Amino acid sequence: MNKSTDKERIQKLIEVVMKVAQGDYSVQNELSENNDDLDALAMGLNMMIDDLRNNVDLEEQNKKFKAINVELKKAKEKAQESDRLKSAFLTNMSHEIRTPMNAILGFSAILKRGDKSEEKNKKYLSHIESAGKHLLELIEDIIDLSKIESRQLKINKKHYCISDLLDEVFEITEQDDKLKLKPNLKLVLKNSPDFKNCFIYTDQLRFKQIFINLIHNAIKFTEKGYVEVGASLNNENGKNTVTFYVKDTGIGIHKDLHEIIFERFRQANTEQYLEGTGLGLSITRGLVNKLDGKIWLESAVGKGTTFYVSFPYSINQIKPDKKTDRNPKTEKFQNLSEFTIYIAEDELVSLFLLEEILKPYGAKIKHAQNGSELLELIETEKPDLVLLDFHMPVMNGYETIKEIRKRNYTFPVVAQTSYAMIDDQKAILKAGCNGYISKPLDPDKIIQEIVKHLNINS
Amino acid sequence: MAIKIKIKQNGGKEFLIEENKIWIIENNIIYIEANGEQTVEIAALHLELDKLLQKQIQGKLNYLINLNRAGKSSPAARKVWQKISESETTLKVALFGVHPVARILATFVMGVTNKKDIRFFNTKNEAILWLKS
Ligand SMILES: Nc1ncnc2c1ncn2[C@@H]1O[C@H](COP(=O)(O)OP(=O)(O)OP(=O)(O)O)[C@@H](O)[C@H]1O
Ligand SMILES: [Mg+2]
Repeated sequence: MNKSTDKERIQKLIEVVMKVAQGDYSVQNELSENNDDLDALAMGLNMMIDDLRNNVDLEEQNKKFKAINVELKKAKEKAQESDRLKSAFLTNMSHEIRTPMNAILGFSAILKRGDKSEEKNKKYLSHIESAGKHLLELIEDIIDLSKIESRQLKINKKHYCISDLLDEVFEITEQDDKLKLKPNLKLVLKNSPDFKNCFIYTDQLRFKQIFINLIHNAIKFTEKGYVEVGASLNNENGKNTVTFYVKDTGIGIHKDLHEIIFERFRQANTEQYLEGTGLGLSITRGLVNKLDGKIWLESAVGKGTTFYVSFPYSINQIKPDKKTDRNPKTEKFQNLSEFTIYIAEDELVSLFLLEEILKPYGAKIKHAQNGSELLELIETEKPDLVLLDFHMPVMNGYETIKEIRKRNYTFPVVAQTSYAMIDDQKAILKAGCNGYISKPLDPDKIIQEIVKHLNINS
Repeated sequence: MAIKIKIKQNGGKEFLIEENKIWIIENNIIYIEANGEQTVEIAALHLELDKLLQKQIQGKLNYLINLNRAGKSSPAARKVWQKISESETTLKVALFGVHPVARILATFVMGVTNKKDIRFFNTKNEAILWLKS
């Protein structure tokens, strides 16, 4: 090869080197067949380029490994954190359970001694009752959270008037025991006639639960001033949105904690012990999400906190499916002595309780320990009504009611369900029951439900 | 990709790994004629073949590698060559080639090994002499 070709070859080598300098490691020099010094140079450069690319690849790999390591470390920390939270939860929980248990067992023991005045006994009983209610709330919280987290929460949506919903939430929370203990704290409702024509499509049970949680928190963390509940209507990008708020003048929440408090078992104030398990807000957020809403807060430490929850709403056109279910007034005393009621219940204490509740009304009562026993009873004599426990051995409530309807018995059957089954009420009715009462049993509600289905002409 | 075996007219065996030809000379020298680009897959097959040949040869192995028609070897392939040359069963490694490209190739391979008894020669004869010395 002549000299000018050599010059060209050198120029090509330079071009390749320049590309490599710019970070392109995919280039290679072409070799002639000469196997001369220039080819040797080209070959050497090619191998050096390979080495460079190899190193760059390695570096990239390293970067990836480092990133993976960071992720792993985070995951590990998260696992440790959740471990820590779990034990904090257990400590809290055992305190939360022990405190009411202590009241229940302690006051029961005193009552058993039977040496106190009527008035004192009533006081002890009310302590026992409120401790029991407290325990129940705790259990319900845990059930709700586990349902939310395992995506088993069922939602039953209907159209409800915003104004009615606000009224009801207010009526319920007005009765809050803690509020009664805080004379310098006022609960204020800001309802507006504008809301009368506005409807949201929601699950009213869960809707109320959201605001009861928020208002309870507001009351718990505020000593004096007010807790205000209200709503505002806005239109964002052509979408009608209603933003409910719960505003308090309490201790406030530091900005750094605004996210964290929504996590389960999290409490902002870890130094000072305030009762609670830190489940409320994580349940609340879970419910808001489930109902397609948004939740956020504004707060200043020492000044107060406002929680906002927004949902889409519609105006007027839609007729509400039903007036919201308010607690009906207790019925006037009914004489049930002409009626026979069968109770299917495997737990003797629950049975005893039901019998005690029904005793004053005079109904004739027969007892079955499970579904098949109940069916035997029915074969001998038909009742006017059956109170059917759903959680029973041998033959459970579902199987029993199906069998009853299959045999063409038409008498009313009222199911007794637990809180965990609260979402299954539709299914219970579908299976053939006429109504349901939920445990723990509220005496007034039981009587109401029984009277409703017995078809008494008064 | 696999090791292929060819029986020569004199009854000796010749092995083929892609374009590379391998056979045993002088009882304990593995002769490799490296042809074309040397990838890591090829190098790995050489490692396999060495294990096979070790069983046939008494004592340690010498390598004689003809680089006259060899192409470049990739960084990963060079790591395998390093392993072969540094192996306990390897005595000496002689590389040879007449032109500057062969020398460069040899330099790259020798650059990655810590072996002392590895050298480059211009001719096959010089290389064999050193191996036998
Ligand atoms: N209105 C508020 N003002 C000040 N702090 C609040 C308010 N609401 C919530 N927090 C803080 O957020 C934390 C988490 O609230 P969350 O309702 O989840 O738990 P909790 O009220 O402590 O317990 P639980 O509701 O399970 O009984 C509270 O412990 C409190 O520190
Ligand atoms: Mg709470």
